[in-house]
Amino acid sequence: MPKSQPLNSKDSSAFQRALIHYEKKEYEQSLAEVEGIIERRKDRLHGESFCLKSLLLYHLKKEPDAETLKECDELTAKGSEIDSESHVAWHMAGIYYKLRTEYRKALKAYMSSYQLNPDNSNVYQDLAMLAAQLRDFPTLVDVRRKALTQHMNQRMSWAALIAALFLDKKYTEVENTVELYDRVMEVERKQVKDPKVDDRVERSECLMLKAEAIVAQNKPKRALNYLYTIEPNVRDKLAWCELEAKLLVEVNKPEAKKRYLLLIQRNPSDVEYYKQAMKLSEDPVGLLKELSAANPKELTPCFLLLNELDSTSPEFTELFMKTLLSQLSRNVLTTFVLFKDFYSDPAVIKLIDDNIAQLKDSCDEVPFAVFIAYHYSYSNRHSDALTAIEDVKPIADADAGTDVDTQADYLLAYSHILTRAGDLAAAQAALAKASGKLPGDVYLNTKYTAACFKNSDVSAGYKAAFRFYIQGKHAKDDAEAMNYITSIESVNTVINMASAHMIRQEYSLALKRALNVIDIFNIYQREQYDFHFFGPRKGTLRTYINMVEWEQSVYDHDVYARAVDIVSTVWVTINAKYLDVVGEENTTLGNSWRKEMLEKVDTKTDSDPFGVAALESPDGLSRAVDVLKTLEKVRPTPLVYLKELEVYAAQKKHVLATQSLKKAKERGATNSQIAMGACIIRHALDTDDHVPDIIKQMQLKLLPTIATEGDVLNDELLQYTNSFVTNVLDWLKTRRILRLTENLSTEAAEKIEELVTEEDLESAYQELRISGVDTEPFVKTSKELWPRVSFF
Amino acid sequence: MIDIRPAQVADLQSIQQANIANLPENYVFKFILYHNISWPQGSFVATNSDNQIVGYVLGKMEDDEAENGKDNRLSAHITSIAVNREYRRQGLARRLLQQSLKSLRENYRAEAVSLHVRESNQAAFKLYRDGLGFEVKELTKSYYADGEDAYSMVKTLTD
Repeated sequence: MPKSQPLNSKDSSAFQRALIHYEKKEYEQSLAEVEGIIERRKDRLHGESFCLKSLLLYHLKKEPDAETLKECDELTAKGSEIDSESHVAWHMAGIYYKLRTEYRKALKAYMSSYQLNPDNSNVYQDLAMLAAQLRDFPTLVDVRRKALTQHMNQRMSWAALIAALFLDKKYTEVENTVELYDRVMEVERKQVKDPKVDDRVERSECLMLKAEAIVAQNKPKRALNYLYTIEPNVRDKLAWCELEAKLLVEVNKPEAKKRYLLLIQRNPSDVEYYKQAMKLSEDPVGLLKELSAANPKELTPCFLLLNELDSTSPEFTELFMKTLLSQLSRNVLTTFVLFKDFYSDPAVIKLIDDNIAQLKDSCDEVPFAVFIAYHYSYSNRHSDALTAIEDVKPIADADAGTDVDTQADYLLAYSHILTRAGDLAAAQAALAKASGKLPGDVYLNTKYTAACFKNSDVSAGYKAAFRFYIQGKHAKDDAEAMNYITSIESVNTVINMASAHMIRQEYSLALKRALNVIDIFNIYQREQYDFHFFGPRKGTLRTYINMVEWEQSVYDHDVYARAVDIVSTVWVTINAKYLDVVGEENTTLGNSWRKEMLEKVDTKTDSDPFGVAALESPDGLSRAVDVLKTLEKVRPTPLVYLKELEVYAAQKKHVLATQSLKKAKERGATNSQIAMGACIIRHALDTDDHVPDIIKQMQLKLLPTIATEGDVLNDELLQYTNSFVTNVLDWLKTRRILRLTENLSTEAAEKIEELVTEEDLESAYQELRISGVDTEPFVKTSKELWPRVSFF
Repeated sequence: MIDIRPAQVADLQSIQQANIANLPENYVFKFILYHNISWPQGSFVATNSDNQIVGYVLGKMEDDEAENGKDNRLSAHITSIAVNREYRRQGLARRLLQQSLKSLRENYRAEAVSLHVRESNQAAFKLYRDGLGFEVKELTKSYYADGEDAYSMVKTLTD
């Protein structure tokens, strides 16, 4: 690639003018200057102008289309290449890549600019923020240090360097820099004498960070001594006391226990303080008894004591019953939440069973009924639970004379019991009633919304989800309300929408909502960028450092995992054409909510409001791999690898599929899962007419070494599946993917008792639906065993 | 067992979802992160044994003189507080607020704290007035987006 020739003085001035226009956001004037420069050059080449033009084209359109972005990409790449010795070109390339959130390319461009002109302080801030965002801590330290040498009088530069050093684990330097900075602040305070300058919080933060840097060097004794020297200047007394107590434990000082007792005095509901004090006590049970007696209103020591006692002992019985009776006597309908944790212990269940009469006498009829219903429900006696709670059902009626708060609490509990029994329709109805009684209660409406989606009643679910936003004037109609829900990042609601659509086999909407969730998580990750400036400026270094460390796990979230699962399942399903999915979905266009939405939706704000384009996207499987890889980084679990395997198999990437199976096994996949994965790969190999023979033979050799139970090579897949895919859900999925669906529903009905929970039953039913078989034999047997289950 | 402890950065996503589930005044994650990085010691959470957030309080310092009021006292503000319905009437809101106010006083030398409460939310109003010693400063007309009035309440903080 030829290099740019230097500009003559006329064009040099034009370029300066173009930059000034750009700074003033006068993009059109700037573009005219830049195009003039390029036009006047014989070879039409000027790298800096190309880079600037790219930025201008980007800014001139509110939302640049794909064509514009392509042109911008090309201009930036070409501009930085032909002017590769220009720090200006690289700086502009960095700005462009940053705008496109291509942080790695941006960092490279900023680094090039920085190396060509290390004194250009304009790039420091962006470069530092990019380095922080990409966790390139050595670069971060380097740039922050450079910035400090140029701006010794800027507090932020000091704070930023200290944070960078801590993140880069340069703890000795953290100590030294804090010392220096403290002296600088001291001098400043004496010179300025401005009462408005209050750096005490900032100083306190630096001192505490230095203490943490000493701790990180595993020098607890020195850290403790330092902590005592800084005590008068530390504002965060709680953090100081917590660190002191922790360090006293590490240096085996007997005062540690006393410190934890003081912390308990300060916050008697912090469980960790008790746990630490117990560890330090020779008689933890005695200690808890003392603490419980000293603060009888606080339940924490009492519950901890119960956890310590043998649940079959008379002492446990006495304390447990005393606590339970005392709580029940308050007649709060939700008392059960406090005791739920004990339900993994059969002795506690028996204790309550044996004392039902006593409990009945301790409180009013309704709180008793609700508690006992929960008791039966959590000991898997759903029929008894429903009988108990339905005995007092009339209290929820308008003329029952009970206050509406109690009625709402009752209905909330009732819906919970119904959900656990699998009667999702009745649970939804109970919450509709509760929400109707207290129409201003957002929490009840949230619960009702979730119940609608769990029951796959998307029409009612959307209506409920939108209610407060329309009432609160955040949105004028459903379409705006949907945008509002995603804009406030209500991931819990949006993922429930996605799951409901998935169950209804409305794949485009399921995909749309799951992609909404994925977008929100990307926003969570992206929006931390600004805090790499704000955090050091604010001086709250410990929290900023926590943020940077936490951000590595932003995608490690159940909601994100659910969204990824839906996205990859939909794209694999579409790719495999298990069903004529789009045709199937068309039948739901009659759904009144969707029809209504179609009229209102503004395609200017969302060009694909129902996810149809996403569904038909040719790169769906590649996008599925992308989100799975993001999840894999934070959750390298067998389930993630097995999902990757499915996608690779659908892409006919057999080697990668086999590697995923191997990784799933290494991460502890069950034999059933491994057999399932082997079947999927084997099937993909058998049905791929274009796979090179060498690849096929290699995989067929490898498979039996991974799936060692059974011989994948020689057995018929149906026989293999029925023998080795022992988990019912794995087995159903395998049969679906292998298209071995004859008699599947009947065979599944025969295995129904292996499905332990209502969720398993629902998953099995969904597998059968996706398989496109007649579900009747399965449903009939299910209803005999689970009479209240309503999701069929 | 309920645990009440200072909010950490890792809690903020859950705080955001608890806010959306409980209240009509919602915040994007970036705001909650900004709040936490600005005043990290002002926020506390209540969690259950499954480590789910069942209640939270977001406390902050007022930014400027206008927010601090005419008397120019250093003033804190409770941005948001909520407890899931199943966990109400267990004293969680009171304990969350007590911890937050103590911390705002210690860290930022807050001399007063203010909050707003919906006129219809009598349970919360009684807690603030009778349980925690807040006083009604004024009734702010149409304070909320849906048009409801708010009690503006204040409390003097001392050591």
